[in-house]
Amino acid sequence: MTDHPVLVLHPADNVAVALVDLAPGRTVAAPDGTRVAVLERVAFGHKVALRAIGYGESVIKYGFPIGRATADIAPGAWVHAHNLGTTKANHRRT
Amino acid sequence: MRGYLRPDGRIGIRNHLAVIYTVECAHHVAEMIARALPGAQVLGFAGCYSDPYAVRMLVELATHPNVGGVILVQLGCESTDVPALAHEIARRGQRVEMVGIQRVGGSRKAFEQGVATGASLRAAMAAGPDVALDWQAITVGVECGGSDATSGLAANPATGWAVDRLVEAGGSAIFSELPELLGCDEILFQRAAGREVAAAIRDGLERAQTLGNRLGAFAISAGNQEGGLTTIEEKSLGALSKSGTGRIDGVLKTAQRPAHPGLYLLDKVGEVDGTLVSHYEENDNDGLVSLMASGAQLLLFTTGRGSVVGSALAPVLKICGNPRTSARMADNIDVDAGPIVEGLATIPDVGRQIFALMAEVADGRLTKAEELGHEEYWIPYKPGRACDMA
Repeated sequence: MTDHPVLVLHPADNVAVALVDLAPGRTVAAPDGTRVAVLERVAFGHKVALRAIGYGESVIKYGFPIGRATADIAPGAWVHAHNLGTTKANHRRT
Repeated sequence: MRGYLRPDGRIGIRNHLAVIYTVECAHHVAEMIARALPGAQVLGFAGCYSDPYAVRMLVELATHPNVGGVILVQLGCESTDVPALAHEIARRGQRVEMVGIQRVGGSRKAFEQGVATGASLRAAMAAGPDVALDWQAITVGVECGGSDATSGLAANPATGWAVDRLVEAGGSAIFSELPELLGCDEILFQRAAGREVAAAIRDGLERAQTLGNRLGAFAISAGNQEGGLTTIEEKSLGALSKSGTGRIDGVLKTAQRPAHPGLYLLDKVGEVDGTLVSHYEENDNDGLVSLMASGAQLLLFTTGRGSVVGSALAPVLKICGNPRTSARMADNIDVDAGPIVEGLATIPDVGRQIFALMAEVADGRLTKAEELGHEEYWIPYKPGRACDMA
């Protein structure tokens, strides 16, 4: 399990899923081989950015958009409700 | 596998005696009767004011293939027309008797009459499975609850693998929860058996999105988010995989059954144009009741954060993708899909395990929920047109 701290579900994804609680400073590998340093704590099951994702850009998981960045996201940052929002809402909810 | 042949030609995998109360005021007497008839299942509708959805659910559950006999326990002044309900259940070929609490003179007399009625119904019901059963006679309902990020990685795709094998073997599977498929639009359209099915899916997704916006929230809970799921699209893409990868043969409305074996999407989202907006599904047991009302005899329930619920009438198999939850809640989990997340097993490995267990449970093996006596049900009022019925 320690060999696989994250899972990238699809080559097009710009986030990975943490398979362990990731601590800041830990490095994880993107599908293209790039090493990304984790910037903050990312809990088991949560997402970490594999590259910079600009405000308004789609966040991709399973090869499909799961919403849009609501802030600029740095590589290695935790991706969750504070910087990712649904595109399905007229209201401002997830 | 062996099962119980019913008068309508369907085959049950359980042979329950159902004690059904027709208003909350009769609930306790129904419980008294069922306690004296070991194994009898209690269910019912709490409301006094008759409701088309609730009455339809009571008819579908009373005539479910896993039920061999029915006692209706009425207080006597509820608005629901209990004799008409009994008549409809009997018309469909089911054994049914009524116990009226006011009519017979109170709790004790109703209890005595109910127990005697139950004993004679039991005597008429088959003593054991009496007919050979193959997958073509089986409809499996698939539900997820207490999802987290592992659901889409392990429990749902492994369950989907088993669903694919079931459909290949000539069986039927039903998945539901359209509001938890928002964001899967293109994949669903591609999997639709034809243009009409794709159009029905599109229509359902549009209503589900409207519903979410009208309610001011989508079907993603605080627990889902704590577990790492951020948006409804993300939850949906994970949820979809429990339906496998095959062709979607049709879209069912509430209480409609598959006309032919295959994979079906159950659309319970009603029209949301009116002023009265309500949830299409209040909780997971509400969802399980809908799947049974569409004929599912066996239920697959995937989780990540952990769920304990069972069902009064159909065995519920729990598949958990979160290894931490599987360890912590081992008493409730039938299949641990956690090794997929740990890199120790593949999706087909666990899928094979699920499919093998489905055959054993269809043949009488008890699930963890059955062993623990989890016999839940939930029939709420569905105001307005929260559910469009077939």
